[in-house]
Amino acid sequence: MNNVGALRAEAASASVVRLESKLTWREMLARIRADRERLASLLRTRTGSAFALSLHPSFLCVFLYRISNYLMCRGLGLPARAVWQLNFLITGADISPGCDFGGGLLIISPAGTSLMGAAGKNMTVLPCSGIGGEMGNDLDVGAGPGLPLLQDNVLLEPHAGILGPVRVGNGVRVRAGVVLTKDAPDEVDVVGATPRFITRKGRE
Amino acid sequence: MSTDIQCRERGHHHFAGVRSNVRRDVLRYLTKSTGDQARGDSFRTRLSAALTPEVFPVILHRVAHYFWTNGCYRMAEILTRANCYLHKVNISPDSCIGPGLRLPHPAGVTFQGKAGSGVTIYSLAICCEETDVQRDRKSGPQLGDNVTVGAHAVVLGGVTVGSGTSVFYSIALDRDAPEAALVSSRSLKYTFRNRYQMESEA
Repeated sequence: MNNVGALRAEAASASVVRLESKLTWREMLARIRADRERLASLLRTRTGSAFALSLHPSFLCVFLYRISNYLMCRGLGLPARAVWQLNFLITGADISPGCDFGGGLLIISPAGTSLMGAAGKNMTVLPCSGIGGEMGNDLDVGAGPGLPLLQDNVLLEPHAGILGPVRVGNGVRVRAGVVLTKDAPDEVDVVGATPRFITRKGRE
Repeated sequence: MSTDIQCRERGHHHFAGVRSNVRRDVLRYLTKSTGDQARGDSFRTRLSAALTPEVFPVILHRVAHYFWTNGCYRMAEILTRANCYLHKVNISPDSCIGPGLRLPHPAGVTFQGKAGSGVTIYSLAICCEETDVQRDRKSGPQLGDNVTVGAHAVVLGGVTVGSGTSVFYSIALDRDAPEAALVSSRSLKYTFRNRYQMESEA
């Protein structure tokens, strides 16, 4: 535990905006615009109409999270938690209003994802994955006690997780079904066990 | 986009095909397996089966897929979103699934791709394309007939899973699987061996 002070000093100089820095209304609008543009760039290959975009579960869930995050940063805890609960009821995504994500957040299928921690720009969250705290380790690396701190362009594949107070670099891709509980450098793929095939003989 | 031969053969582009597919889904729910006989076939039994959370998201998807194949993309999107918000099931309207689909615990299931008849997808199982925003979009997985995808399993990317294959729970499958196989993982094997040892010692 000797490097806690060094970690805190490094966290203070991190590019991720902390909760204490008072998210402004203009910054929130800019982030929502970035989310919308990123989702539009994904959907343009299919029915990329504005109507489909505004009804998309990814946009709705991130929009509600942005509002609850803004309210929480303004010190309005009760309405922030109400919007959080509404988000959970409608879309099924559990995104804590206290955590801080940069613009361009994309949650393809929100049902079952739970996000706590801090991340930079352009994070992609595929179904049933999430980031959060490991039990029993309350080290603070800049995202709150026991929560991970991610940089830009992180991609979480289905059923992936980043747990505990770890720092994850730019462009990290956590493959399907892998739980990352260690620090990861920039531009790496985190892979898990390879599947095996057992052929069933004599079973029809 | 909708000129798929298999989709045409199943009749997903007209009402009678959707009706027969839904009937197979309801019968699959009533029999609980592909081999057994139906317990009851009266209208009331089938209606009560159709309104259960197992079957209703499947019916909503079939109607959305009907609209998609007929070119009403907006209506298909609305029904898919309704399915997503009501049942927390995200089956994209372009995915063509054969008759007899069974979702035992539908919350959290995500599907995008193609599947044969008699497919079972357990809770929180995900079959979707490998989404990477920077790269081009790839196609989703193609499941054969009578495929079972276990709970928390992931079938990712444009892979082909052969007929009769079971994907075990908590498996991340990112390559082609043969026919009539059981997809497992190495860590799972060790778990089983330990358990058998413990049982033999006791």
